[in-house]
Parts: sequence; structure tokens; C-alpha cells
Amino acid sequence: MGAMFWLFMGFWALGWVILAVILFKSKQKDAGTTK
Amino acid sequence: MSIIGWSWIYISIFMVILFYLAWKGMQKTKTATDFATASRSYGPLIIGLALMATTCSAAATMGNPGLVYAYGWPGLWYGMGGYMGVLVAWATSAIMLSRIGKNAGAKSMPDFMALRFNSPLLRVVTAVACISIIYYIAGQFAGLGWVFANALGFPYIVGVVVGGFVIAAYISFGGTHADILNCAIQAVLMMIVAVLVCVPIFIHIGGIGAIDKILTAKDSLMSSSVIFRGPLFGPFSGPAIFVSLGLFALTPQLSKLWLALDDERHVPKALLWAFLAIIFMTMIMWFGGLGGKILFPGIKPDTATVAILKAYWPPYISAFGMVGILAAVMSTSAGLFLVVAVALAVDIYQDTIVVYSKKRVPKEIMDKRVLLMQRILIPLVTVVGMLIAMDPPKFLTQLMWTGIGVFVGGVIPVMIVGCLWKKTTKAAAEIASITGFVIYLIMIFGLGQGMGIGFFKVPWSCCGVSAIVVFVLVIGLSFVTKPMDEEYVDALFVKS
Repeated sequence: MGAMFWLFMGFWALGWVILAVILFKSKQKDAGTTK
Repeated sequence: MSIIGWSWIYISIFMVILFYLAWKGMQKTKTATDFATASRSYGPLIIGLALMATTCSAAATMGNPGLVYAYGWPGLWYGMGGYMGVLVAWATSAIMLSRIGKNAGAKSMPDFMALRFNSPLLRVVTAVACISIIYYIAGQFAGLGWVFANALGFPYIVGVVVGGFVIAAYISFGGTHADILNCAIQAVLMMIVAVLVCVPIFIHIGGIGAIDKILTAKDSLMSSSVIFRGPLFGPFSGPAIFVSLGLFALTPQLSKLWLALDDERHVPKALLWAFLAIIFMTMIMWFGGLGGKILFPGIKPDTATVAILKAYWPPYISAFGMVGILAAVMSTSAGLFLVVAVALAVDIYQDTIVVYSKKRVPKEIMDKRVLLMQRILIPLVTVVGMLIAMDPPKFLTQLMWTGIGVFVGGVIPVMIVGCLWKKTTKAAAEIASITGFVIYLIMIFGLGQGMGIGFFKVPWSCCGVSAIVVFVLVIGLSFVTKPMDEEYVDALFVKS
């Protein structure tokens, strides 16, 4: 597969990483508020 | 039964659901603000789906696969911007949009800009930018015309007129509540369409590796090793559409959905639902565009997905797919109608003309008057959109971007900086916004359509240039112009 395929997949993976970080941070914040 | 017969059945059922939800929306609409924003009324799943349905329109189901069909892999710059650019924009700005919008009590995006920067001038500039979205509506109407022509056998123009007035009717009744509820249903339909388009490609061609091999053998320009292909996806215009789509994610029909989210803490969940749903639409572009090129070479690019649906599914399924495409068109158009109607009735009439004419109108009477104006303006906007869409455009997506560009090039960069940086000044915001607005118009209509310079014929290249200028101006001028009142700004940014 060529470069455009890897660029496409790379951005996709990065999207999931960003989402995971956002969700993790918000869970941490919620836990902090509950304490 | 033929595809047309099945389409009539599904579209009739779809219309009943549409108007039932419009009626529910009408019951929830008591004031002009309910009609315009439906403030804090829905949870993350509904808002996430509505975000996807409003983001993905006729372009996502027909126009964008059409670009990949015509340009090959470089067309996927649009797809990458569609999930990555959009996600980054929402992830960085949605919480602040929701927070500042709530603290300021913003009724619309022009109102948001006016309150954030304490600037009535920005209300007018943003409202005028909202009106230019009529071009985007025209793009949706072109999509409607094609769906009706393909699904029901209507002539293109009849499809534009019938579809346009159906949307105008349900939005005039139910306002933003009807828009959001219908969008959630329409998002599910659109995801089903994505599956219906992709499955035949897997069955008849294979995975992405097989698609790439066949296309490369036919034409080396269609290979996955080609990253840029001008004029639409060249070394500047490719990355420009990626960034412009990120900025597009904050256009008023989408930004206002964050104002309808019930709780700021639900932003991450809404993002997750929206991202998941948008991935389905990216798949249509990827497989529908490239697979369509192999299975149906030589057809009109924008009709590739429709051709796949019609050829590989029995009539009762392909007709359902047509309804899904119709849903995609309708969900986006509905939000756009509201943006234009609210900009004219609330921001220009109520908050500018009435305020400056110093007429004293009791609040209740004004509210009723504005609500009525919004409802009446929607059919009028429909007629203007139809007039623009009378001649079917060559590329649907390009027509839409002519309208979006004013907003993306002039207003959104200022909105982002204003959300993320407290020290953004009123003067910097005003100068940058007006400059972006003017240079975008000069580039697209003067240098592009007027003088025929290739680079400026691509709307998102013009967006990219004006967005860069606006970002530089708003940040640079904020250092040298009078700071805003700290107390005022702190009150907007405070976390409740």
C-alpha cells in the first residue's frame, strides 16, 4: 500500500488516541469531583 | 415491485416519522430561543448523532465519494479532514463553546460572537456570514434533486422543489427541537446506507488492497502512492481542505448543537458518538468512491454511490438506501435553514435594527414576532436556495464550499482563538473577521470565478489563505490593541 493509505490510517489512529485521552481525563475529573 | 414503488413506501413512512417529530418539536417550542437553539435539552447520544447527521450531508453520501471517484486517493484529504480535522476542532473548542455560550446566554452564533467580544459589530458580521450559507443550502437542494430523480423517477427540478418545501415545512413547525430529533434518526439511516454501499464492494472487488491493485493497474494516478493531485487536492489545496474541515466543524449549524447539550461534562461522550458515526461516512467515501470507479467507470462522479445501491441490492433494499441518502440531505439542510432564519430574525432584526431604532416593544410581543418571522423566513430561504440550485452543479461539494467559506475563512478562526485565549481583544477580533470576510470574497469571486485563476477557483484554497491571515491578525493585533475588561471576560470563562 502507498503513502496515502498510511497517512489515512495514521490520522485515524491518532483520532482514537485523542478520544481516549479526552475520555480518560474526563473520567479522572469526575472521580475527583465525587471525592 | 420496482425500486420506485419501494421508494414511495419508504419515503412515505419516513415523512410520517419526520412530521411526527416536527409535531413533538413544536410542542417543546415555547419561545424564539427554543426555536433557535433548544438550549441544554439533549444528552450526549442524541447530540453526537445530530452532530454527525448535520456534518455529513449530500456531500458525504454523494459529493465526497464523487471526488474520490474523480481524483483517486488524494480525494481522501477530504475524508481525513472529515474525521480528524473535525474531531480536533470539537475536542479543543466544544467545552469552551458550551461553557461560554451558557455563561453568556447566547441565542445563536452571531450572538455568541457579540457577547464574547462585547461587540455589536461582530454580531452583524457573523449574521451576514450566516446568510451566505444559502449557497450551502443550494448544494443540498442539488442533492435532493438527484435523489428524487433516481429514487422516485421525478425530474431533477421537481425533486428540488418538493424536497425543499418538505424540509421547510417541518423546520418551520418544529424549529431546532425538530431538527435535532430528526437528525438523530437520520444519522442511523445514514450509517445503514454506509454499510449498504461498502458491502457490495467487499463482495465484488475485495478489501482495500485489491481495490488499490486494480486501480493502479488501470491508471497510475489512481494509486495509493499518489498523495496530491491538483487542482482540488494539490500540495496546498489538499492540506487546506483538511484544516478547513476542522474550521467547518465550528460553523453555526454545528456549533449551536453544543449549546443544546444538557451538561458540559457530557462533551467527551458526545464526541465519542459523533466520531463513531462519522467513521461510517468516511467508509462510504473510501470504498464507495474507489470501488465505484472500478465497478462503474465513466458515470457522473457524484452518482457513484447511487449506482452501487441500485446495481447490487434488490429493489426493496436499494430503495431503503435512497431514503438514507435523502435523510443525509435533509438533516443538514434543516440545520442550515435555521441558521439563516435565526441570523435574519434574531440577530439582524431583533438585536440590531430594533435596538438601534430604540423602539420599545414589550418583550412578549417581540418574542412572538421574532418566532413568527423565523417561521416565515424559512420558506423564503428555500426559494432563494432553489433558484441557485436550478442548474445542477458539476461538483456538489464545490458549490457548498462557496457558501461555507465566508464563515470558515472569516469568523471561525476568531471564534477558536476567542474560546481558547482570554486575552483576545475586541478590536483584534473585529479587524481580523472583517479582513478575512473581504479577502475570501475577493479571492473566490474576483480572482477565481472572475479572473479564472486556477488556485482561487478552489473554495477551500481560498478558505485556507484567509484563515491563515485571520489567525495571524487576531493573535498579533491582540498584543497591540486595548485589552477587554478582565471582569467581563472572567465571568464568561468561569466554570459553573
